[in-house]
Amino acid sequence: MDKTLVVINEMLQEGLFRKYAIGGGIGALFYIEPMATFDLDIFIVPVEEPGGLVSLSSLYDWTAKRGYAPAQEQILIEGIPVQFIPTYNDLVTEAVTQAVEMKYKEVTTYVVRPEYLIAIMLKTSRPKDLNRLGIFLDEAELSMDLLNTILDKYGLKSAFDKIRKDRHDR
Amino acid sequence: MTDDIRHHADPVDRVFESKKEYHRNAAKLPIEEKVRILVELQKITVNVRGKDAAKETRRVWQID
Repeated sequence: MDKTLVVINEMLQEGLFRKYAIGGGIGALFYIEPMATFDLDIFIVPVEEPGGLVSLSSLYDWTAKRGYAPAQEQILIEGIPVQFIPTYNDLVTEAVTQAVEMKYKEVTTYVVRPEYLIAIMLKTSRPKDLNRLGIFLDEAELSMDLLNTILDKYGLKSAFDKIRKDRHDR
Repeated sequence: MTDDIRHHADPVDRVFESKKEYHRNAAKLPIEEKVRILVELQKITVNVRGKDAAKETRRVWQID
């Protein structure tokens, strides 16, 4: 994964996006036990084009020139299918801007904080998100102050409290 | 086994607490080790799902 991250860092340096952070299942992997997942989800704060449009064409052009093939919505970079996801709401944008710098081997990268991953999982609320959220509560080291601040800000507190209550009642 | 687990009087509680400790320890592994395990999990998933997996976009990471 280090070779893939080197390429993504190069894309950042070349201004293909303003900021990035690893999210999704691989973001979770930094905080909880390993679980099967196949995509490397990269949230990006895109560079807006004139008129406020967001386009990923420059990103696809850049990777294609280097021989990284697109496969449906992903791009295969150094053996890993990468999905670039432009931040799509205020919560995800904040999650990327507040991402924590980490190392994978010798490579610097940026990972969404666990408290934001929980909030995003709550917002998305697919069965697999809620399952993973439960694992976060058991395994991840969390700042409850930060988590409560995020949940309050994005109106997710009651949904979170319900999940905690359901887990407690089981 | 930690003191926390030994101090559970109920053997069933001890088993559950032991499992929780196992998972918590797995969560603390270095990320490089977790990725190595992840790739093994991908191989298992693709093998189990067989033809279904081939139709999907799931591919085992080709990394060193």
